[in-house]
Amino acid sequence: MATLGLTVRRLSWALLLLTACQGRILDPAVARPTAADAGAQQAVGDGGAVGRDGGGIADAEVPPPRGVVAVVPIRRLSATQFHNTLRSVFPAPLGDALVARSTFPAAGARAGQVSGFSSDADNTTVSTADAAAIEDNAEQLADYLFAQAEVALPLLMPASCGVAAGASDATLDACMPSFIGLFGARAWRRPLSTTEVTRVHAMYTRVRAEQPAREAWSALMQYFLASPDLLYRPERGVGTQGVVALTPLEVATRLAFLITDGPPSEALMAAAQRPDFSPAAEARQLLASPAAAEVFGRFLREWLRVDLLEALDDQSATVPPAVRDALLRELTDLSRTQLLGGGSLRALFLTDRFPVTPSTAPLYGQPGGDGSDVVVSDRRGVLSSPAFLTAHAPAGHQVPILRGAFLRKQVLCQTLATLPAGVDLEGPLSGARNLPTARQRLEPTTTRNDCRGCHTQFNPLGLALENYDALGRFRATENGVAIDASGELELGGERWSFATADELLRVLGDSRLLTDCAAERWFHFVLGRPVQPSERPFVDALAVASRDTGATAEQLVVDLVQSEAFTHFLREQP
Amino acid sequence: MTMSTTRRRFLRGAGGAMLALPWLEATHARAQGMSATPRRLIMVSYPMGFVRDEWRPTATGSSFTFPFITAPLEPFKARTLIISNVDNKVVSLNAQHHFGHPGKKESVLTGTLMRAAFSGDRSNTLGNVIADQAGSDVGGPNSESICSRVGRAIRGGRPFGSIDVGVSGEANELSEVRSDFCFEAATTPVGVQCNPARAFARAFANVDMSGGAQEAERRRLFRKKSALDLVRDSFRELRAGLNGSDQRRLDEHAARVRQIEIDIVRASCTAPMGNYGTPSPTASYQPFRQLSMRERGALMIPLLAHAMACDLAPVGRLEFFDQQNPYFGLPVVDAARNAWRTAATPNDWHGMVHGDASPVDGVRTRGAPPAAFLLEGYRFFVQQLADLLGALAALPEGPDGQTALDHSLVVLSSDFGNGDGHSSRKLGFVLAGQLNGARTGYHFDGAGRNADFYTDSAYSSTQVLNTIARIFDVRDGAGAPLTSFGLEGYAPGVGTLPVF
Repeated sequence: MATLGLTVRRLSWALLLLTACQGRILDPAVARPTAADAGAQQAVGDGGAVGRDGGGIADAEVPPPRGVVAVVPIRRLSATQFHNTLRSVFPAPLGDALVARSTFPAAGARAGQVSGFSSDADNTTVSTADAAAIEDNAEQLADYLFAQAEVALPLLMPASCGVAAGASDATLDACMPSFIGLFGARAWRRPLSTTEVTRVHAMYTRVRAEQPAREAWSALMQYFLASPDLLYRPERGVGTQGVVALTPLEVATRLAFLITDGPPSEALMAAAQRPDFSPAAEARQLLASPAAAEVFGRFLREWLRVDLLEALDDQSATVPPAVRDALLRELTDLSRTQLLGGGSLRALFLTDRFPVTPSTAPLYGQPGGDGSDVVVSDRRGVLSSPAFLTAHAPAGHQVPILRGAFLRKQVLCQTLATLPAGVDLEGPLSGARNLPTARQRLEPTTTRNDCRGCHTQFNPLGLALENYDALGRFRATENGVAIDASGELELGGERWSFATADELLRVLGDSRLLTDCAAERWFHFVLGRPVQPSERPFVDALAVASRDTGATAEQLVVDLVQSEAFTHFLREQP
Repeated sequence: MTMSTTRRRFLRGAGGAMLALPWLEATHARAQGMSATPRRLIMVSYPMGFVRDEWRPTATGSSFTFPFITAPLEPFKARTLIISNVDNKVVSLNAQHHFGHPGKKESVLTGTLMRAAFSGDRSNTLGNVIADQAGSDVGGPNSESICSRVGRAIRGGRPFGSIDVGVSGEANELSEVRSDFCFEAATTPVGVQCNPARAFARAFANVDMSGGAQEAERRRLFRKKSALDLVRDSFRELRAGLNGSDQRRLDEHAARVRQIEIDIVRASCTAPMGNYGTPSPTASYQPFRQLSMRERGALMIPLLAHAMACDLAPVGRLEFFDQQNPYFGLPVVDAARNAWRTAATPNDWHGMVHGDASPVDGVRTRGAPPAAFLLEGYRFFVQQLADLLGALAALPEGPDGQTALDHSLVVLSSDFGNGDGHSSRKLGFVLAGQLNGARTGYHFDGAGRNADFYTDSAYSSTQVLNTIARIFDVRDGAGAPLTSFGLEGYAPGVGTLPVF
């Protein structure tokens, strides 16, 4: 909290100064900024008097947000998290084999949603069918362990028991209590109490009374793999009311699931039990792991709805499965190179370097690729990536209105006006449908009085991206006519004009709305539920830190995990 | 497939005392030509509304004729209540729910808004509703749907809580899909099985209880039951010290685990004819991938009808998925759809419904008269309802020539009224089968023949849900008839429609 609090205090002043400055320079009544101004504006932010390590601003005037005043719902493991748990609690070959056989229910399709994440608490509730699938999966995995018992038991039983292949039932019986304690602690991410060991062992004993030791052990594994302590991440904290602190083990668990989508390692659990446990230091270590890029990639896929590609038909001739899979990987790779390793949100949205693979090289207009970064001159940031552009081209056709509306609503977190019921959607366009370019075809929507109020908000965004076709390939013409990507738009109370898609994307990449929205979505992702109104100050501080200090994405994560938003929660009144 | 008399029959005998009373009441009432509480509720849902003037009958009351879209219901006219022009008023409480699709499917059978539209403790009350906040149209609805509420009320000793089957229009659809319309609890959608093989296996699989297999199966079930017992105990332990909302979430999961323990006692019954194949735990939709919705419906409808007639569950669901570009299996619709898909602009069923123009021939899908393929597409869903009614009417249930339809309330619903404007106003419903005193052979119009889409209806779709609750005599926590399903404290959602 200290780091972020300091940052927030400094940045609040910086924001006030910057806002005041913008008010003079960018007052729409005085001057209309162009895209070229965006760079200059950013330069002010980057090189101004207040940076992340800058000084000179008094700390006392603006109190730091506490960061948490709301309830954090209990989270259930997603399928990915369950599978990462299997890999964590079982030795490597066994864990991988179990994952290959697992049919743990995935989160439902999110086709009807425009926001939210698959790991949200509300997206991982359990229906009757889910419950049955979870139990059936546990039984199926336990059956596999039973079939592999002569391999699995020596690997899993405490070394002190000396269990080898072919061990007698008596040997297994004697070892079972210590096995329950050892395995349970890994599965439940905390030590088991004596009472818990006794209760679990009683179940083993009950089955053992009529069945051999290996069968009883498989029932035990069936239980562990469906046990609520494994499936859920309960947080009890320290304290009985109001804002309470998580225990160090609970912080470690949040950390691990946030950054690696999996449970804490034994090393992290051990660290959490030491007095010098530092969430910041542990976060830095975890952020360096390959798993971090996977998590950030998922965040971006689900925020930008690139995950819509998952629904593409295997038989699709337009987007063959290999291309689809490469596109789904693209944001993970971009996360690795642009967000992590010293990158930033701004870098992600303004980069001209993209991971080009053999499958995506034709989309980038490149002769080939091996997955490494290539400078692509006609791209600007993640919103020009083939992954994003293809995902927002339903049925193989890009739709400027939809692309533009999506950018407004989901990427900039703006509310769109209501479409009146019964409005004539087709009539205004009837005379323009055979015109060669989308701009011409859609012109009536921005010239008619009954349409333009809304369409001037999002048409310019979508039309600027017309330089990219449904597969995200750059094109200069449509039906033989040059594409005009220029436009004007209102953004955060200011009007901007741009001549090319590149200029628009620079404006978006530098816009306050985008960083505000990113902070909101990220906070939602972290806590598994939408931001509550009381949390706005904290989220705003995150956005300011991201936008105006030049802080790396990693530093923002490190700041966040030290904040009360991450290490505390609000206990409901009984 | 022949009748298989095993444990199911035994269970029916053993449970006869529990089940006999409502059965005898229903039989007695039927014999006297009276209405009775239906034994089951079957919900048929599909996305994207309709063309209103080709869907609702030409006149109100009892003297009406069906227009083109609802004409397949003609054989069941005397057993049908058509409800038109009711508004899904609750949607108007949150601005985020106005635009496009989000929140509307989830709202229509729950009578409430998405959970993210609630502040405070997020309890499902009017006072907690946020008028407008980014993202408040996401996360699933804030309460269960009427089918789940009815199901809990009339479950009795039936082995399944519900039989949920789906028909997907996507070629690549996998097995289980989360319902867009039906929710077991706040934000918890019902899992709907779209793979006929798996749906068949779940409902009709027999357990071989003979010889050595019997002992192995008994031992397996003993292990599973032991593990499940401990899982349930662990839920009780885990909930201690957690926030109340977390406890409720865990309790819901634990209740479903309890249900699994009950479901372990599988039944066998009369199964439908048809090539349902063998379910695979890992394969996707094969061999059903290439089937149209019409062909998939032809498998799922008999399956659902038989499962209902076997009394396996108090609730059945048939849900049609894929509003974007379904493969109907109807020449007129598919030809138009295919032509549009190969054209230079993106038009598909979704585009047809919303009034886009075909880039091929410029044919508009709105206005008068509507395009033939649009009417045919919408009629498809009504035809599926009629097929289900026919399948139920063909299955004997009870004495005196009664059929499964005599004991079933079947409801057709969608998320929109007129599909072209994403309209949550002027919705329509069909109630058919056993309506327990509600009028049949009747068209109830909530706003009048000439009501346009800007005129408020006097009735809300939540009142349709209350009407369903009354048909099943569902009671609230105090034992009084349930007359205010959905969002608590919302006056337009109180009361039933005047159809009794």
